[in-house]
Amino acid sequence: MRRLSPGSHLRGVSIQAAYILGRYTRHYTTLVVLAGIIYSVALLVAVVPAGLDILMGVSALIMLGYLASVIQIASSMASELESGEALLYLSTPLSRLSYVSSWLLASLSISAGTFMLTLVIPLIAIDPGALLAQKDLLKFILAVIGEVVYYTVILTAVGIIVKKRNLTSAVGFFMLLLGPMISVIVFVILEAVAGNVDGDLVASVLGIFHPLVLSQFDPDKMIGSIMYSYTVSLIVAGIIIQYARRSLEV
Amino acid sequence: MESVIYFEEVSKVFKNTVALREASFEVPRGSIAGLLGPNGSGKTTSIKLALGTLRPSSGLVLVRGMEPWRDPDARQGVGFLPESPVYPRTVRVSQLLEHIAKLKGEDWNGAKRAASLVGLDKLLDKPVGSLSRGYLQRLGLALALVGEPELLLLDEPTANLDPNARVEILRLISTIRDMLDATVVVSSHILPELQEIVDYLVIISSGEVLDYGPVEDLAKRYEARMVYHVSTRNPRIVARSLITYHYVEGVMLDTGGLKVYVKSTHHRALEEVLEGLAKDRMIDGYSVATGLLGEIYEAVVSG
Repeated sequence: MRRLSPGSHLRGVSIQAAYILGRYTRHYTTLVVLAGIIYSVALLVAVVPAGLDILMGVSALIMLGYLASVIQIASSMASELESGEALLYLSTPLSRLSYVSSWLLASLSISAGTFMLTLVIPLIAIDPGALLAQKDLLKFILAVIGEVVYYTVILTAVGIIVKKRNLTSAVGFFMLLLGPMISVIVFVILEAVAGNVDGDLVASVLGIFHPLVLSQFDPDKMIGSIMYSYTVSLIVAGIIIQYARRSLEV
Repeated sequence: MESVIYFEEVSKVFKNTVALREASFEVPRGSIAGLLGPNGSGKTTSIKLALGTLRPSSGLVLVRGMEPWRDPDARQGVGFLPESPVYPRTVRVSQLLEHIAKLKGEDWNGAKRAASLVGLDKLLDKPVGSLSRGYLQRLGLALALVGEPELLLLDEPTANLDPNARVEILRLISTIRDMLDATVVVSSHILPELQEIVDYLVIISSGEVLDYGPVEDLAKRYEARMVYHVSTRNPRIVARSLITYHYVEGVMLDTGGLKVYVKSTHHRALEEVLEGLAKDRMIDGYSVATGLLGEIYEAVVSG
């Protein structure tokens, strides 16, 4: 089997990823600017006693907004495969590997990139020293980005394999929004029925849906949560790439 | 003659459906090949296998000497127009053309050349979603033509078009072929459309390739009528002379001369008569335009 040079793969990835980003940039720029302004205001009011609660609430809302955007990106890719638009690009010398890698790259740039722009840049702008001085905050940011990467990669894998927009969205909603809620409800029911339930077990189950939750139950598990999300992301990305090379037909 | 497309015992199975069964055929360089068969016969599958977007379940597919499933470089120099193209509706025509040009290693000038070949140059700033069906098909052709390909794969290029757009697209295909000197593969189930443009046939039915070859050879093999184009400045006199021969089945006035229909079993007799007329300077020359595809197809399918 003849192998393409890494150069031609990288060229294909960069052209296709830039094209995907170009198509979605306008929507996400608006989202980032809006979220950035809201978050900056929340950061400023965080100095007053009640402001910290507002900041937490705003952060959670922004996080939810970005998680929804992760679902949207993955389902857009699935839609491209489902409708046959992918054939337009794959009928050129672009390889399947480059096509899938470009979607991964573009999705990660959109989800993790916009997230960084919204939450990290205002922090640096308001108090540049605070970010570097607080190692826990740095770790937390790394963990949050890890979680966004984790969802992006897993939903990209789902989109590529099922090639169905609606199914990808449904899996995304379950995983990101319903899954954690169901886990909590099951936990509450179990505790009501069986009494004391092992907290570690609950954290592990919730951690499947939200790796960050591991560290919420126990701050010492922050590193574990980061390692879990990035490791799973890497493994799943490897699976996607192998699948694209061997089996992706359009 | 060198083959641009070569299939050797190629099968493609989708779950429990056999789309193509041990298909073997080749398409020589420089021909306009018609991939002929009813809907669901395996035409689109064959084109996608040649394009490398489907993996053959077994057998060997070569395009320009390369295996397209394994080697994306096989698609360099190949243009493709799908049966039902799906385009991003919000991007501008120019953006899409430029993007495909980049993927093919071409610059904006290459994209512009393709757009002007199909008459899209005035619509470059329009969003793709605003184009009519006829113009969408032109866009598809332009995208296929970016990089001036040496092989064009056109899957039902006139499907879903109104009669006027159909005629325009078929005319465009002929013009493009002459301009680019490319090998063209056109799949269709509409015989009269292919009649005017193809010189080579691959006949598929129920996933099996029944026969393939130059139209002229197939017409002779299956004793279908052949159509000769005779160049003459005295069409009426020549026509009157030709219809006296029992094997001449019809004569029609055509641009610059006549169209003469003859059973392939008598093509040599007709050619002798035409040589005689040429010696007497009654005609300027003649050529085999094509065999009648409908008759060839019927004969091939009925075995």
